[in-house]
Amino acid sequence: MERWHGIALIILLYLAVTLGIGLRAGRRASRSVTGYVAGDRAFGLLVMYFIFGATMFSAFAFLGGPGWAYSRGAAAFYILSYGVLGMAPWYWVGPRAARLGRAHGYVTQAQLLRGRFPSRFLSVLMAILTVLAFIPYITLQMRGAGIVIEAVTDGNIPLWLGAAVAYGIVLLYVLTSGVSAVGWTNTFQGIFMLIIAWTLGIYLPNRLYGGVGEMFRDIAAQRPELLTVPGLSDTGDPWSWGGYSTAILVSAIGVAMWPHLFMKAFTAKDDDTIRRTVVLFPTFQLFLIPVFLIGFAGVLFPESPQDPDFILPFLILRSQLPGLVVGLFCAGALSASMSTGDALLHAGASVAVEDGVGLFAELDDRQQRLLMRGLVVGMGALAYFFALYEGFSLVILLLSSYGIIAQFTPPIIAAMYWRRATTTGAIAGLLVGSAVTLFFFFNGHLKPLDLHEGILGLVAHVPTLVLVSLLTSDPAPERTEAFLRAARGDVGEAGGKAPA
Amino acid sequence: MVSLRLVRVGAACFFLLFVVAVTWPGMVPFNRIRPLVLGLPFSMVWIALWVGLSFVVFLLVDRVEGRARGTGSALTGMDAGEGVDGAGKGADEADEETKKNERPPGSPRPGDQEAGVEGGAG
Repeated sequence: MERWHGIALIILLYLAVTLGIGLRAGRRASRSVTGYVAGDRAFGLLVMYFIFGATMFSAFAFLGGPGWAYSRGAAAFYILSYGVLGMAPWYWVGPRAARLGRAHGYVTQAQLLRGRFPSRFLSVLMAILTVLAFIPYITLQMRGAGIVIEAVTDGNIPLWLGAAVAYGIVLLYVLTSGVSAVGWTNTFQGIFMLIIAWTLGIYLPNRLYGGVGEMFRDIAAQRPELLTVPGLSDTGDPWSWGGYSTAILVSAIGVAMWPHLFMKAFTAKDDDTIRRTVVLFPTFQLFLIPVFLIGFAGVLFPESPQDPDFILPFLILRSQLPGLVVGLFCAGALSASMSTGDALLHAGASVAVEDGVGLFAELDDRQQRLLMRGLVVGMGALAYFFALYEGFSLVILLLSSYGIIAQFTPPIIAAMYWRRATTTGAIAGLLVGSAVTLFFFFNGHLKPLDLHEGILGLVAHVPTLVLVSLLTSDPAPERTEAFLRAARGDVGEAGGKAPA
Repeated sequence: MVSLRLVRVGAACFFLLFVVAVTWPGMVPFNRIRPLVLGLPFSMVWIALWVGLSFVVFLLVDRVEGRARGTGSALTGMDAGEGVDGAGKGADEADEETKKNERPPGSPRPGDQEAGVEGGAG
């Protein structure tokens, strides 16, 4: 038996366990749309904790994190900085969103917005932006899975097959079990990732340099520019402080707005579950430290991979690790890719149905579920198609989609907290913010101080939202009152209903 | 007892400081390789330190918020104050704070009519 046979066996075993957990979970949820999308609003703390953790630490953290630390050094520290900042407000905002979800049966972000700003245009705009932002994200996760499998099996399982098998399994459990499958598999995958990351993060520096301190002493002597912020840019020149600082800001503002994360507020069992997730979140964030150590371990390695994102598989294959460890690593990276990919597929399809198609056609529960499943397959196929073709600048697209997602923050916050906000104001703000973001994305050389285009978008967005809201009036103040009361939790008077 | 408002303002200040400390220009004085702490460069330790501090801050916030909600800490479920069902002293304090801040006091409390509160503030 060749070495890669054993590795493939471990991967298969891992995939089988994931599938088993995913399929089992489905037996517990009810068959309604609420059951499929929001998991009957009954997730416990353990599941919530790992859903948030595992979906945030996507293939980007597992492959991109070490890749960044390896090629761009301290630039990668921005990933460590933004997570907690982005989550902190959710101790208060999360329960508010969850209360609205319970009062009105919301399962998506745009439904919440529509409850306060009744506009089909706004809803469809958000649905389109969401799906657009998701496609490159899913593609990236699929490529990640395929790359890892191809690398560790010496090319015997090519990218197209590896990605197809991994995502075939994701499709299978998302289609049969909906969000409860996503929850349980993410719990399993989250634990798995934690163990693998810490093991490798300690093992590789010790094996290659004789210790973590020794490694950084060597790097400080030979490549000191990698160890101080803002590190290097993607071209290998020093990165700007403006670019680094606004990357943190835009990610912190945008991170909780990713629909697959935001929608988890609607799946929480109770408000305390959300609060606990926020309180515990910093503990999960520190998991990035071993991830960086893995990347730094490659810096002074005599050979280099053709693409920095390959640094992890590259190091593992060259350090004469036993097949078992290589197989486990591969499973860890797969779990990172799959746990994000499944949540994205599921959330994307839910949003497209609930906030797009569902507004224009009367669908019963069964038809909605059917359409949602069709869309899961459709989005998966489209992303798979892109994943097979190189040359698409996916990382650039993904970074830009963060700028777009960050534009969801002002209307969502205004809907829940600001009485004077109006529908016209929310639409105007979102349009202006998105337009400015896209303009600077396509005209990068015009960006002042190298600031992130999403931040520039917000600088135009917020004043527009405020000004237009103040200049227009709310046609149904009673509705607004009812909505804000429901947000506060005065259940006795939660009257306002979202239009279908 | 630490008041709810104090804790919220304190938490907001802490996270603003966090933002400043890890971006330009707050990061600049701490942006150095040495001393290595546990073998890690100081720049990385500095950021990790803020992440670790956030955990401590949130444990505190959760304790006080939980007491004010009357339901106790979301993390441990302990320290529920005098009232079990939100009738405790802490909950009253939370209501007062809500009137000032327009912030949610926490979990739903049926029968707690405060219809006029936000209207008056707007």
